[in-house]
Amino acid sequence: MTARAVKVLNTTGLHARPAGLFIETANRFRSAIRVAKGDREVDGKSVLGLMLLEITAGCELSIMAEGEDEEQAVEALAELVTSRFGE
Amino acid sequence: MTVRVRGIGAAPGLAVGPAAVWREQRLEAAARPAGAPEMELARLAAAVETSQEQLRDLAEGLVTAAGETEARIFRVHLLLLDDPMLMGAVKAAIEREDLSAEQAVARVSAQLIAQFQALKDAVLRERAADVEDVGRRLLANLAGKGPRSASGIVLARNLTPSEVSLLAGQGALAVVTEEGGPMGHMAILARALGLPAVVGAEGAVAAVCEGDAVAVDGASGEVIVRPDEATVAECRRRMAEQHPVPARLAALKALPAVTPDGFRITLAANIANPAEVDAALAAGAEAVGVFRTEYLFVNRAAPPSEDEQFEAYREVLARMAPRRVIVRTIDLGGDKPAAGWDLPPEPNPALGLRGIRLALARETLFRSQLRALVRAAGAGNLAVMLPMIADLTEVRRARRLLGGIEEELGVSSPVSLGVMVETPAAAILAAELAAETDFLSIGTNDLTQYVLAADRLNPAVAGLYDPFHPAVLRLLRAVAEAARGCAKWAAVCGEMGGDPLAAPLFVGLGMAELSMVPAAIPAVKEAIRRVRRRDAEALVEETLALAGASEVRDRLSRFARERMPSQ
Repeated sequence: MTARAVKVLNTTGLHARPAGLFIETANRFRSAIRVAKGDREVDGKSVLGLMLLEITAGCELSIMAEGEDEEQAVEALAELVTSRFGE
Repeated sequence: MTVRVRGIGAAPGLAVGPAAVWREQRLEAAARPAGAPEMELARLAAAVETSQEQLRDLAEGLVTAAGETEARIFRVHLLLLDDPMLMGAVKAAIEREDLSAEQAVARVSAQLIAQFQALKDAVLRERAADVEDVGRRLLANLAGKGPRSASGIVLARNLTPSEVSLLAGQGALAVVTEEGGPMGHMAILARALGLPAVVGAEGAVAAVCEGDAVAVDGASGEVIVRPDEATVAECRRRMAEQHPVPARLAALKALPAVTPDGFRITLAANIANPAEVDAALAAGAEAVGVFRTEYLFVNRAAPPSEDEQFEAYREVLARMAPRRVIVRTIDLGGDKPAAGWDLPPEPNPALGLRGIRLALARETLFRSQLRALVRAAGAGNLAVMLPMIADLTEVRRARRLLGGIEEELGVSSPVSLGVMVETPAAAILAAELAAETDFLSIGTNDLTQYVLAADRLNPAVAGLYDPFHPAVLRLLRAVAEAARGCAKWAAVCGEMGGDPLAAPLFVGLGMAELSMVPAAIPAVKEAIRRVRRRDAEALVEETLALAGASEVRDRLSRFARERMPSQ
């Protein structure tokens, strides 16, 4: 498993649009992806799951992937979050 | 006995018809024994596919009828039909617990709804309604029954976006809900679909029995249950007037918006991308009053190049030529994030770094837009408008930038530059702003929100948000007078500009241009052609002294009625 901690920097946290971009990116990889905030963890390919985490600006997230392309998946998702979702 | 219920007008239009009470369906499964898991999964897959088709049709229909923003809600629903937390959990419940597809959908959606309702964030909490809407759609498709139907005047506690779209398609005459605000999804859709709607009509459902006659005024928010014959006759007469037949509209297209005593107003279109020029011209637009440029900047990884912007501006200018096109410079903020603009987190985007403030803080990006505009100016009749101006300093800085660019590019005749009046500060300083610019265009949506300190997206105070409030009207008059005093022209480009009810006020105020969604042009033109400037001036003075927005609306409705040709 590959995992990485990232901090959410964009203004709106993870509302519909950034959450949509996140799962769009996650769906490009075959690995199973999980996202955790504190002690709560959800499927990283679920827009509902991400919204339920109530991710706001400044939150620390942990992105985990397990599978053949786990390293690339974590890399791409961490990059998306730290680049403020291209804002 | 006649009962009157007062709600909030959410989508204009009159209707009289039999009441249909829309009882909420519980999100629960029909009592039906579960088949083998494989069979239940196959039924689920078929229901998902039907739902996807319905949602795609709804979204496409709305893009055509209204625009991409209105259609977005159904695109979110499509995403949910693919979501592992919803669909994965439903499948797991069928496989592991031998539930029927219905039972699994009902249980998983109910659990998700409860989770969303428990969230702290109000925007995210509203997503519960989307899960519920999708869950209901799946259950209806699993039951194999077509969508629910209703006609006449539909009264409900609340309606989902899917239900409103459905009812409009089934020929419902009007909808009345007890909950909701005029800026909720339901109200936005009803307006887009041309379905008269009243929201916030507390007590409306309890006041009717199925089949009772009901009269609805979607502009004033009035709902009359069991009206007497005279009221019905009056309502039908007004409907005949307010619903211009297509032939009457077609006849108006080539005619100018001029009052019987010769006061002429330019009717312009608000457009959000070059593709909308066709609709503007087809509706008889004489100009573009706001070309919003945000579409060029949002939903992409990097900001557009100067050349890409130049092409977009040139296309619109050339196709509208010789008609004037007012291009609004970039109006982004914390609520409309865009690539490359480096927008800082803000607790209150409406009062934050947006519009001209952001443009001046990101000068390189702003310069690329101004350069593209100056380069495109030769293709047609360009005017540039600055959003969110609060003082002269901002105008002077933008003017200096623009002047420098004109010099760089060797342009001798300066581009026409105006200010969008949407902060109370700009309205109060209108005379000073008019003296240094070429025109003022009033953005009534933001101006109303700032003057009345009411967020129209917040259902708790949405009822307080009304551009017909006398305080807003007094500012409109001050701006019109300030422009006239400097021999400059004034325009209105907010939603109010496209409201036929407001048209006599704008005639009375002497506005030079009204800009609106193209579809609103014929009705506004008709309203203008019915009012004398002198009468309209007296009407302005009268309404400015009224107690509140609903009194103003009542007075304007009466004024419009008196001016309808007799049958």
